[in-house]
Amino acid sequence: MNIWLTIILAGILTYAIRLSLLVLQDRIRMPDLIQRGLRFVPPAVFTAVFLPEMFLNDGVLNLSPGTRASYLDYWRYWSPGEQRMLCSQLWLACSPCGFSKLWLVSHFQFENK
Amino acid sequence: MQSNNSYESLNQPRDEFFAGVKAELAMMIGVIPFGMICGILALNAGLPASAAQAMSVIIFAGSSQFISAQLFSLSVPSVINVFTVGVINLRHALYSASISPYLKKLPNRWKWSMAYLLTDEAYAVTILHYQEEGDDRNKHWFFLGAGLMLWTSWQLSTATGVFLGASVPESWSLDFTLALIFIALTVPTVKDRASLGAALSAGAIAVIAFSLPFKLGLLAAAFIGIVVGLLIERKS
Repeated sequence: MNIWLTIILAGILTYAIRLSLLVLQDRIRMPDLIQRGLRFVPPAVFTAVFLPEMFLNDGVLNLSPGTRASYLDYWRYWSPGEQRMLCSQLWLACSPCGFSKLWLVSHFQFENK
Repeated sequence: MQSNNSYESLNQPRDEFFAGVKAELAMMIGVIPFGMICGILALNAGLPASAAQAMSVIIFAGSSQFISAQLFSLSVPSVINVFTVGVINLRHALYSASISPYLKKLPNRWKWSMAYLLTDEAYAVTILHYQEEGDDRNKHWFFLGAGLMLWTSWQLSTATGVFLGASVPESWSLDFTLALIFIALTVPTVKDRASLGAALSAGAIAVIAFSLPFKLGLLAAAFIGIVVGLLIERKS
């Protein structure tokens, strides 16, 4: 199959997934339990995405601290003040200072495995 | 989801729109390298520059683009490529379900348009905004602002990656970029014991079930997290 056809089909499928409940919810009645459960989608899904990523080394899970895979080690390179703020401020986690500091750490400190 | 109908708390569409743009700005420092890497990977997989950019326009979903580009480079059959993208993006159905009550009263053109913009990052800031106090009636403009902000930067960063090609440092760790974005998205969503329980249980299952194919471990983790959240909520 042609590259373009693949991309277009993948795009249509992704769009259909995103559209699904936006239009279906008019036609089906969502049980109360499901509606209450939906508020847990953000904390559950986002944690499920990032937590394994923090323990990966070239696609392989590695749970021991001190290795390149362990982002727990990155934690030490933030000052206690930054650590507190990281935990409480959405924007600071993506601030230029925080991000570039961590990028520099990862680039220079962990290049030698 | 309660709608506070006091006139004072209803923001104008324009204010909502720019609030959305601003909320999404915080994500950019994480999203931009990710977009560049997706552009580069697509190029390295042998796709022409136009197709690499088209992935960002037509699919518009970072983690699935990332995997799809690798599948192209391995000459994996297209059916599997499309299917894999679909499975990776299944979590967006959860976003769709979660945000649908808030968009229920909007005309169809809004629903069909906003569905295209329903990415992790746009969803995350928007759902938080809907859950806050204040009249909901114009909050879809916030969603539009956040979504368009993300779309624009995604296209630009992909284009930059495609343009720069191999000269972007390979040492940029995508794992790190993804983790950073999602940690930032998660923190404000953990507001009580039930949501903390949902997050921790989902995280644990996601690590344990990581080796399942097609990122099914992620979906399993999400469902278990939701169940745990409901159980804790019921106890209190």
